[in-house]
Amino acid sequence: MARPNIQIDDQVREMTDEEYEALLASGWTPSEETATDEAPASDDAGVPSTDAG
Amino acid sequence: MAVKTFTDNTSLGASDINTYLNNGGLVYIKSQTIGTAVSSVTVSDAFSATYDNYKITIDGGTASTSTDLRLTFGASVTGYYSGLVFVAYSQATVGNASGVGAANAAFFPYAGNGSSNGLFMNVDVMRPFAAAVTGFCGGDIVATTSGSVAFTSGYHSVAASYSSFVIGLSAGTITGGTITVYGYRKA
Repeated sequence: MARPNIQIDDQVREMTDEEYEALLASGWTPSEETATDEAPASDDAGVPSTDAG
Repeated sequence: MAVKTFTDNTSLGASDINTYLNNGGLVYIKSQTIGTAVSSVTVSDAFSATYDNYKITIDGGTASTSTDLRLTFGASVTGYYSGLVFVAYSQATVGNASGVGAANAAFFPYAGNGSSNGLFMNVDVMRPFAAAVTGFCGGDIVATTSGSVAFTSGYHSVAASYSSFVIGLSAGTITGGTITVYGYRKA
């Protein structure tokens, strides 16, 4: 999977390896494209995700 | 500030102009359009000595998957203490709210929320530019049928001055939408 983009003010670019590693370490999970709000989500069953750092 | 009604072609004195044009409670500072498929957005030069307290909103756009919108100040990734109290929309009868805390976290984890229905964040930030701890509170608006009504508050314990903030995600990427920063006028 390609690394996601990072935006600093108006500049958007692909994340560096180091930035992507830091993102993964934060508990971030890659997206699976969803078409509706019934798809798996961090707030399934009304419970927000509990991935606090 | 009292409400005053003007009529067409009224000559305005400087006092009225200063009071009614410049003394609004919330003063627009800047906005930032979110790019395409980003997982992090830094907004620079948002906080300054001009204001003590700020409102940050995010609206519009879309998320590739349901995601929490996280908030950090500057490059600081430690010392965020916050919690979330929530009740699922589906809880049709009176019952207890649920909650979750985050001590000494790397971010405020529930500053907002995003889904295919849009991005939503509406938080107040207190004294981020002062070299002091920073307060934080807001409603975590979850615009999905399986979501919750949720409120969050907390503080950032690192007593440093920050002029920028970063919006991060718990999952996926976001596209479009607008981040807007307002300052609470002091006088």
